[in-house]
Amino acid sequence: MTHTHTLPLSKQATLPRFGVAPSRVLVHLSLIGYLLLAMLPVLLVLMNSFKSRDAIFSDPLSWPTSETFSLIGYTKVMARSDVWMYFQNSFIVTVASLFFILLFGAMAAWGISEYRFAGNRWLRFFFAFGIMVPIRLGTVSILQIMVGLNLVNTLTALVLVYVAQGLPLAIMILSEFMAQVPGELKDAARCDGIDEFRIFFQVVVPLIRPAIATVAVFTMVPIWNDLWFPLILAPSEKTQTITLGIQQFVGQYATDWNAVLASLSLAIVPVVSLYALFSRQLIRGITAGAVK
Amino acid sequence: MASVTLNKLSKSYGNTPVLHNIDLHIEHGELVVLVGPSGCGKSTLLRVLCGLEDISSGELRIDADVVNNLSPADRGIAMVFQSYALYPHMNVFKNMAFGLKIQGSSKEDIALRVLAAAKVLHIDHLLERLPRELSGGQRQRVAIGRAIVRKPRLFLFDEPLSNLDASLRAKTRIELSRLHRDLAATMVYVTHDQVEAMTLGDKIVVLNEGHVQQAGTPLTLYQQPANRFVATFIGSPTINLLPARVLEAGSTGVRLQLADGSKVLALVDGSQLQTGESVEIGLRPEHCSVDESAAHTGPDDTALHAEITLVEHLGESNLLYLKTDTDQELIVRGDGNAAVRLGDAVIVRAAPESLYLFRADGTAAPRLRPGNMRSAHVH
Repeated sequence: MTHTHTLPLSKQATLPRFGVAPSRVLVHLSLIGYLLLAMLPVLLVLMNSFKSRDAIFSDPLSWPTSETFSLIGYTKVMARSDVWMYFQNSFIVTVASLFFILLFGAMAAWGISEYRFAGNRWLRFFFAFGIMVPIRLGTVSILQIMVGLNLVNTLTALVLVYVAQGLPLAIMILSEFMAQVPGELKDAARCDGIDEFRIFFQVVVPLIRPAIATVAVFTMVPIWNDLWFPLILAPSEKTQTITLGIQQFVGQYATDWNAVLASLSLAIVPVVSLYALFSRQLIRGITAGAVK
Repeated sequence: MASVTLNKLSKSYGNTPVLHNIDLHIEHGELVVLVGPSGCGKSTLLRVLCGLEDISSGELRIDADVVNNLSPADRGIAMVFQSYALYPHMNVFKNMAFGLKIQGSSKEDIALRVLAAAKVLHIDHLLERLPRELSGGQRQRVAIGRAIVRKPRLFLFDEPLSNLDASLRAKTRIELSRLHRDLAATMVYVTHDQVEAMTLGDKIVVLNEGHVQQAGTPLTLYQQPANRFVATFIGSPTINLLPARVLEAGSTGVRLQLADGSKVLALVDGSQLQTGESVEIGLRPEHCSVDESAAHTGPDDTALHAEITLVEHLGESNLLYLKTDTDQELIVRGDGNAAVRLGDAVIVRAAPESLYLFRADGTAAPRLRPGNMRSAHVH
């Protein structure tokens, strides 16, 4: 910090912005600039989803005015019942995958960080390898497996694949945090007669809540946004996710832009709210000092 | 309460032996202190007793049961850790109740036990607080409370006072002593602080490099150490050691010649010694006196000419650091009221009965007239 806190509180509130060093202004400006750049496409989508069709084409960069404001995109989308089904599919797949990734990831992380057994190191390498190799390389084999198991066009196939995709990173991160839980705490629990499962669920997991929230946040987004596996493994009408479903509105000859933009805007809502939920946990966990 | 017996207990980590053939017996209601330098194996021994480490060979019995393969809870043991190890996300009440809840005790029973323990330890007003809202001393008491509510056969303490500041340490030491008496509990206590060991223990076990050097009452270890290591470990400041040669050895005393040529008598049992053997004599700083002249020196006394090089004034005594003619360094505890000056040439005097004698291999010759070895607390 280049400025000191010697002024009384009342004076500090009225300190002009330029009382700050120029380097900080530059940093803030560039950060705001990048934020605008990144947000511009999203903003465009949101703005234009509230406009009538002509207004979108005549003036795509303007805010919706009283003349151009129209909810027709949204009414069209929400009237279609299959859009709700797509949302439901996305939701089910994302939540189920997250649940299993966190549960098994935490348990695996606990196993390899806490217990000494033959092959511990090799197991670690195996999981680390999983981070380095992209799962999409094995798409053909995965499709063959799903066909063999009769799981094509089921949500189960998607959940299985996403769990496999998300586990390595989850395990690596969670095992780092678990290694930081003080050894004496676990010993004390063992002396209290608590069995290993209870120690895991009731002592260790509450202490690594911030880590779990972190893993949840950046595991969830790639799953929700994924187009690849839904397209390959579950393209049927009943199992489409929202990302896949929106593609339908983009036709070869004529595109219903209102519907596309409206459904894209709606698609943002669940994942943003899930993120908000977890990130609050994350921050609360860190500031509460839950992890010693 | 329980008695504990260790029979040739050994432990190795892989190929590295850490504990060698430990033989030990702890009576009902005894407070035994395991003491020794860092790395001597005392914490490992405690963890083995607890059941957190397994035993490589040998037998561990609590009362009559062989408990080698039992889990900590099944052994009826409770442990208080150095860092207290309280569950950070549970309040004090839940911390103390957790173990009981898992065992399946009823809610009323748990509440009764927790409140009773909290009262004894003066933490009953803190039951709703989280560990991070407590001071070090309060956390320590919660850790002890968590052990008490389980009504174990055996209490284990792993350096519980090391994280406290000096004044709190002294106060808590006395409270622990009182707790031991009130609970009439069998306790095993690990520390590296010999003052804690001397004041708390009914019995002290001195460990070094995984071997038991000696086990006995504090005063026995002080007056009759079995070897050089125990003699230097117990007693602060450390005992002075002087090289000497045996002139005449018998069961009623040993005559020796010191490096400066003077001849002294040590009242130790010299029946195992040979004439001409190189030994070391031990002089405790508190058993020596410092005189200006040789007027008080008896014919058999040890009298060393030395010069004062450093003085530490403790108020109740002076610690005098001296150097003899033969460049031997000595520490003597002198009267706090005596006026001394650096550079004073003095005579360090010690009576024959206060001398210790150690052979080249470290074993001690038994003293024939050791000082008081009877504790006021022995019933």
